[in-house]
Amino acid sequence: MTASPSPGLEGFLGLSGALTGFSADFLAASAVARTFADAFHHRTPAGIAERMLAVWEEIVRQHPGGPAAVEEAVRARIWRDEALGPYARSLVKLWYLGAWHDPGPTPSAPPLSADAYAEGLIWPAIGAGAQGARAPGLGDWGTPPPREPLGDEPP
Amino acid sequence: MTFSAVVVGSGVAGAIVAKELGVRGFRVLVLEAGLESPMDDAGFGSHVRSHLTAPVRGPNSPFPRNPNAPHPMPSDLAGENGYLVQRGPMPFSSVYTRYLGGTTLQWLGTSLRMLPSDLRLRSLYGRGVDWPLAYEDLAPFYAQAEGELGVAADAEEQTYLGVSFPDGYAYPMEPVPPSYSDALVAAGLEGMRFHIGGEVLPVQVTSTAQARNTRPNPRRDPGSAAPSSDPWARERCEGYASCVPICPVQAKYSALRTLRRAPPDRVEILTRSVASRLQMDPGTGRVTGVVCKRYHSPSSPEHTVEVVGGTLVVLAAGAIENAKLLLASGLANSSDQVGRNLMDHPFPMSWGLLRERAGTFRGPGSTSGIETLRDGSFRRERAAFRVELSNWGWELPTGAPQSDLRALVDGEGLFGRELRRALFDRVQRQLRFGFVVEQEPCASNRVTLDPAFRDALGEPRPVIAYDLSEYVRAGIATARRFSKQAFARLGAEDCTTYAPDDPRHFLHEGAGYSWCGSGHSMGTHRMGRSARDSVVDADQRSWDHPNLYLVGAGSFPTAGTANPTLTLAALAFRSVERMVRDLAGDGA
Repeated sequence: MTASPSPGLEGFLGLSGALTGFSADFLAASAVARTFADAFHHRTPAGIAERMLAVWEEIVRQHPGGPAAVEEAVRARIWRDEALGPYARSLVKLWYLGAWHDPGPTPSAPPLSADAYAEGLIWPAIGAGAQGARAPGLGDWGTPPPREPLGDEPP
Repeated sequence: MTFSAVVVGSGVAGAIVAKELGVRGFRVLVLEAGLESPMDDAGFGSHVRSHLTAPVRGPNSPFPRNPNAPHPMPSDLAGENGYLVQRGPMPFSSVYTRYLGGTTLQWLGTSLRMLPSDLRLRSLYGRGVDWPLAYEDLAPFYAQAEGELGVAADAEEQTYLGVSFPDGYAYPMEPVPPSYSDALVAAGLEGMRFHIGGEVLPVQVTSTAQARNTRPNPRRDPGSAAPSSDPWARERCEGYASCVPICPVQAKYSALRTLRRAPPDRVEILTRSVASRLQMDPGTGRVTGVVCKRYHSPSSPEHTVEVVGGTLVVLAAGAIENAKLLLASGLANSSDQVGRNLMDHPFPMSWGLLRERAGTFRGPGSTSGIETLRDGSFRRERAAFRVELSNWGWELPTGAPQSDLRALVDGEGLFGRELRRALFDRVQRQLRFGFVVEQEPCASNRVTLDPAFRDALGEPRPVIAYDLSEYVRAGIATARRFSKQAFARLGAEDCTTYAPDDPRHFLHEGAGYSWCGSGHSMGTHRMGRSARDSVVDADQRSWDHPNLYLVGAGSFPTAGTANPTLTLAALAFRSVERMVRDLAGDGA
């Protein structure tokens, strides 16, 4: 349905990549990228998602091609920002766990769907298939584990 | 309509009895209190989806709550708010499942035989009681059970501590391949000896026998037992790493397979049918009917009451539900042992971080164990245990890997590449031992009823008094000492912590310990040699009522250290022989 990401999704994927540690291209291939973008917009208080994306666009403009500098800027202007930081954490959990967690000490939340669970980044991050949803085949578990997380990092 | 047998419960014991009697030409009615569990992709898939989208995934998360046939949940640990009414001093911590197929829907699949010494604990070590059966009496039925369940193992490797097989014996399935971390642990512990009391025991990692489809064993005579289901029909283990609670491709045995093999023209299955009371003829002592409450919807307690009858009545609803039904009916209890001697395998865990990657969260939950500590003269003073090696890191004790993600994001404030790398490193190196600890029978660990506590249909809820004896506590402490030595040998950093406010926490010689349940409810209608001190005989037939059988792990006089399913399946096959003799001339 979405052959190429809309401009809005592109920004969302770039921001998500910087926060999750996976490349935007890897995230774009997720079956639930648009579902997560929608959840991010709908579950955050009015203006938060737009503001976080605007800050992200600004960071990209100011630090072309400098991943370390981008990371530092994201840390300072989003992750540690009093208003944005808590929702950036929610966004990371959304991508990793497939579930929306409101900021604060909330109990474990249910995944948005079975697909959202299965596409959670936690699985490639730990070098395994989604428990109960992805299988590598008989005996795969006897082979040496991967040397690093699956999926690309941001460039 | 009368039946040769009415079977209450559709778990592995009830399914075996129903199918075997049906195959031999008898008419059988199976009453299942819970809802249906479809095996087709769409129906089974709804269980899988319930699990994947649950806020907290646990053993019963694929099986939505049903107030008309409630079952315990892992969170029901204290007080009166869960299904079990916990009277303490410790909580009974195991769950079971009231759905068609019973607890085999969510079991791990471990299919070990008990040791010959497990059946002679009193004679050998002065503890507990002896079984009225010897290993040799059970051996042929173990073989039948291994055929029915489609167990994957190598007989030579399972030959230890007195467990023996006939020459040339072949399990139905080739062993489940061991995991990468199994190999790491096996290599690291090679040559280790463990001291218990004055004894020195070898430590050896063995591939675990498990009811999980791999490849059919080419060494097995195809005519030697019931065929295993077709491993190529999307029922072969593919490594979904989700055996508990649910295998999406049904590679793990469940009682649904046995029910599917039952001849449908002779075995009738009624779900949503709660056995409420047994009726008895005081003149003959025979059970004449099962009063059954039949409901339509789990969301309404509306029901009809029917009485069904059979030449034999077989209770196969699990140790706790069997006891509940007997106590509610006031039957089979001349020994005063019904509901008593409730046992589990208390399951303490130790967890640590290896120096190297272990390949966690791949494959079945456990593929290997250490069986060499299951017997010794130390059993005079302390419980024996087997060691289960986890393939899923710290999932059970800490909620990994999701809890690790939360800790790294919320606790350590990590994001981006740093988060991704830290998570990989932390989860990949996780190592977890679990200990299946023998629990000795204690008369005061028991199921009782209290009219104040009822479910939606008005049926009594089990009231449970439970504790761990000094014998069990000493076994748990020994298991912990073992893990410290093993972790040191493996170069693993011990990360185990036991929360002092956990209701299961206890102090032993100054150190704190905790444990979980194994899901192994046992002992509540123990078998024995005499009507004075046991509820059933060696055929699981009630001493008090000649046509009443109580099958399942409730019949176990002692618990040993083998996960109980294979043994209770073997006992069910053995009881069928006696039932067939009882039914001679009953129209087969």
